[in-house]
Amino acid sequence: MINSTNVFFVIPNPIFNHVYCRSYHNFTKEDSSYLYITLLLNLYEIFSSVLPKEDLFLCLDNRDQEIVSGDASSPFLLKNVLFFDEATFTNDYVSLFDKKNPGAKNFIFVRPKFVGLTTPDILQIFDLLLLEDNVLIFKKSLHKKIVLFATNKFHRDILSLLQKNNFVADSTLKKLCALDYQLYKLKNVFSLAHVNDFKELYQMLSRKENYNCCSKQMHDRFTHLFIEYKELL
Amino acid sequence: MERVGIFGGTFDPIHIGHLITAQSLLEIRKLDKIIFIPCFISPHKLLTQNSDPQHRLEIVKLSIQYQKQFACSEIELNRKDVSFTIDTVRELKKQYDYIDLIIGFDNLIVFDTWKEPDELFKLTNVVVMKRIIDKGIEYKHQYYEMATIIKTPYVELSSSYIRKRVRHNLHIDFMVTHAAKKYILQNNLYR
Repeated sequence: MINSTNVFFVIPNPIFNHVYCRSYHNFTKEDSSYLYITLLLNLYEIFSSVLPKEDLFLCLDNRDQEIVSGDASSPFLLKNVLFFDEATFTNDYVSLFDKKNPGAKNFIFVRPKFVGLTTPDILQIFDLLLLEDNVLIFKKSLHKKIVLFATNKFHRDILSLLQKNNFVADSTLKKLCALDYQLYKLKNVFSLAHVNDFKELYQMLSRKENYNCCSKQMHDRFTHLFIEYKELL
Repeated sequence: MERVGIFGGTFDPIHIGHLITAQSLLEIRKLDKIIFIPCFISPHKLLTQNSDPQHRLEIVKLSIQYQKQFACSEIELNRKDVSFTIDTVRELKKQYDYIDLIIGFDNLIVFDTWKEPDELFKLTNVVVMKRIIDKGIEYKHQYYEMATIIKTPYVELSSSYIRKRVRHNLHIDFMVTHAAKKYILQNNLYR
C-alpha cells in the first residue's frame, strides 16, 4: 500500500533562489531561504523514512530551477523535482496531479512550512488511506490553514476548493463536506507565519516530547537560526 | 449486573448494516442490551451538515422497535452540543456498571485524537468492530493493544449511499427497515 502513495510538496514561491525568496520577518533573504529549505528538508526526511524517494515529488517555482537542478549534492531525487511558472503555477500543478495520479492510489499533498509531523503520524495517515471508504485526511496549522491533506480517491475539486478558499480550514472543509468523503482531522501542527512563531518554534523544539519532529541534523539547522536571531527568542 | 453496549454514530440514517452489526455484537459480547446513541454533532464531523436530529432519532427508534434488546438514548441530542463520548460515558456510568463502548475500526486508528482516551478505557471496554475489509494497521498507538477487536459482518452499505439513492429517486428497500423507509419518504428527507 505504502508504495502506491505519492507525496507532493508544493511551494509556489521561490525558496532556493535568494534573490526572489520572500523574507521571513526581518531575516535576510539568505536566512529566510535557509529557514524555508530547512522546513522542507525536515518533512522530506521524515517522509523518506517511510517511502522511497521515487514516490516523493517537489513542485517548485521556475526561479528555483537553476539552483536546485545544478546542485549535485541535492538530497532530493532530481527527476522528481518539477518546476512551474508563477503565473500558471496552480493550474499546472493541478493538471500534474491528474497525470501522475493513475500510477498511485493514494495521494498526499504537503505545504511544507510547518513542523510537528512525525513518522507515527504518517503511518496513521497510511492506515486511514487503507480504509475502504473514500477518505480525506487533514492536518491544519495552529493558524487554521490546511497544510497537509491526503486522500485515497483523488478528485480535482478537492484541490480547486483548497485553492479557492486559500487553504483556510473551516471554509474549505465546509465545502468539502458536499463531496462524498469521510473526513478525518488529525492533530494540528505548528506553522511559521508570524514573527512570534519563531520564538514558539524555539520553545517547541526545546521540549522533549517534540524531539521526534526532526532529526539531529535538522535540529542543528534550526539552532543555527535561533543563534542568528536570538533577539527574537 | 446488566451488560450494556453503547453504539454511537450520526445514523443519518441508521441502516441494516448497523442493525446486523449490533445484533452480532450483542451475541458475541453476551450483552443484555445495546443502546444506540445518535450524536448531536460529532467532534469528528464538526462541519458536516447532518439531517435534523429529531428525524435521525425517530428513524433509529422506528428501526429498532421490534428488537427488545435494542434501545435508543437521546442523551447526546439533549446536550445540543458537540458530542464527546467521554461525557456520554460518564453520564451512563451513573446507570450502568458494565459498558462496552462500540467503535468502528477507523475510530481505533484515530483514537489517540479523541477526548480523554485513557479515561474511556478506565470506564468502559472499548470494543472495535473489524470488518473483513478492514486491513491491519501500521501505527499501533498505545490504545491499540488495550482495545478488544471483534470481527463483525460486513455489509457493503453506507448512510451516504442511502441518501444518494433517495436523492436520485432510487429504491432503498432492504437497506433500511420498512418503517424507516416509510418515515424517510413521508418526511421528504435527503432530497
